[in-house]
Amino acid sequence: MVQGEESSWRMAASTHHERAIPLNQALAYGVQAHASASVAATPPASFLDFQPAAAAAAYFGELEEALIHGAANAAGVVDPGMIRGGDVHTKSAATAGYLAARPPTLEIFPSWPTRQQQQLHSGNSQSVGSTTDSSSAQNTMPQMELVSPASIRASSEQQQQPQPGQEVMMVTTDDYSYKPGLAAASPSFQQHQLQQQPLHGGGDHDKRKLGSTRKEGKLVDAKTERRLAQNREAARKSRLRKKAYVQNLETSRVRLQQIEQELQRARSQGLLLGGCSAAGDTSSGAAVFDMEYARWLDDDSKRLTELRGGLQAHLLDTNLGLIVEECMQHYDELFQLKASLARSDVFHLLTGTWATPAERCFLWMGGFRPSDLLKILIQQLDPLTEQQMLGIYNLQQSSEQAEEALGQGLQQLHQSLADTVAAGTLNNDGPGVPNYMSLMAIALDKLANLESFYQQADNLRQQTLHQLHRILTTRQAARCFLSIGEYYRRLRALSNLWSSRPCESFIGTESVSPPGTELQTMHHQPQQNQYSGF
Amino acid sequence: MTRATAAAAGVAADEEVRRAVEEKPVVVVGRRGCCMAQVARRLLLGQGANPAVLEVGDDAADPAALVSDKAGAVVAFPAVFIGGRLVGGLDRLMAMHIAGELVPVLKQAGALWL
Repeated sequence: MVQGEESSWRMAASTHHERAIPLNQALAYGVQAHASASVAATPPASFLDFQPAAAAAAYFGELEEALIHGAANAAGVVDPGMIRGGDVHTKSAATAGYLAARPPTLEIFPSWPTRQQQQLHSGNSQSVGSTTDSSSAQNTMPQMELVSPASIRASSEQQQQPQPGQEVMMVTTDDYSYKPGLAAASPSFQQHQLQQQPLHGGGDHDKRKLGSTRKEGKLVDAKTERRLAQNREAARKSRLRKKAYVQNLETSRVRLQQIEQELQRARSQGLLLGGCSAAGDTSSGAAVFDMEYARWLDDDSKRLTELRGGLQAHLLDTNLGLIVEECMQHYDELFQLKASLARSDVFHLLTGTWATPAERCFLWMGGFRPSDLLKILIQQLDPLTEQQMLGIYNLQQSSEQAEEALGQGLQQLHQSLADTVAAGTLNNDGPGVPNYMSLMAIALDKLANLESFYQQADNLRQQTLHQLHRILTTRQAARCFLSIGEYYRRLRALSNLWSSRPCESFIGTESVSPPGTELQTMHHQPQQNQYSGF
Repeated sequence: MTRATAAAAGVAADEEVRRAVEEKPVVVVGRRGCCMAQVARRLLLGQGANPAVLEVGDDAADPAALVSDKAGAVVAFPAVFIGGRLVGGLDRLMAMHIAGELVPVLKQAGALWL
């Protein structure tokens, strides 16, 4: 195979002066690699030492690097690792040379399959027959293709057009640099002529030359016709490639969305919360709660929209009042949900695993602190009558007192629990401690009190909301619920932004990044890699 | 629970509780080791009342049974009595407090020192 390659190269070199520029030369020329199609020297032997049989995916990655580094390697240093097959790297080098001349967005895909395409069609066109001495070169070239991954596919589709998936791999610059006769449904001898010239720039003059050396007599017509046909083909190719690319993007986007949703769901269940929670796996009750809570949040946003609409539309109090009532009930539902979970897994509620990080900052006994919320709302509820002001002020005071009582009671519980757990000597473990089991039993009892505290705190929150509803008019109540909803929506949005913020420090510390932020690391790594070359 | 066994256990007997409820304006009755009774107490203290706190044993009678009215109502411990009448559990106390009803009731029972 290597022999065949060599021979084909040599033959190509001898018969076509507009042939592929050897890799090292191309690199030496840098961006002008394609400009002057000088007489090609025999390609260095190193070219042909490697089998072009790598896996397409790894190959693709290497090629992308080649594209990026091609211009940078103007000194002509050839990275042996990059050389897998003569065709490909020639193309990549020359394509890299195009980088300066072409908009970067076009240099997305490697070019080597294009050459395969040409070879493919050279195979097709063998039947057409060429009387020129390029035919022998053609015959050997397809052989060379058979060993490369794309041509393995191509060979099976010798008689068909290349699939769009294959086409995606082709560099669009090829269309612009020279108009190869790609995927010709009816391979014409003109096209197969062009297949002898894999890489060159400013194609027209080459084809003209080619036409003049190849075909006497039919020169003008052939040339024009050929050019037109090539243009058509190129345009069609471009369209197909673009379509395939866009489709690829779309499916990737959908997939990404799905993954993000899954991740969000898993996160909300606390599965990715920096390892596992202290209590071990998320209890089934907690998982159910999280799902119900997610549904509640969806409903919440609908309610907010209704409230906003109702206020803007200046609905009658009766109608707006209905909406407000529904909101009140909606909150009652949430308290109900939480109460039922508190019986089985109060820690899920107390540690705030169900809430987003920003919400968790403000967590007081597993939920909002009533007096804090009132402070926020008072500013939003202006204007208030004097009586209302008094009512709100009293409400604020009452909730503060209740919070104080609960807080102190909880503090007592903490102290008592700590005393129980630390009872006896701490220098021994389990069996070594006398009355260990009874000690644990007492501690368990005390721990169970947490449930009562949580229930009382939730009750306080619910009563506060109901009292607000009583004090305010319908419109004020509507604005009040809207404010509460929007405030927490913003906190959740803040949490989202926080978790997706770019963090350069991850590049340096990727090996020690905590598991919970792994997605961020993976997310931002590729971005950095793209720019590292520039 | 008889007075004797209650005394031995260090908790108040039913009769004791009944008497306290009748005599004192504000009484909080809670289970032994229950922290919530303390919460109720703090709340009431904050309003200017001085509640008597009694602990009952595990097998104490339902608070509702301790008074003639509201018999049959199931109330959890801790139970709060104001002016000899059963107000309810801690959540009821909280609700009254938030709604601003607690202070008037305390005043009416003569529990507040003004």
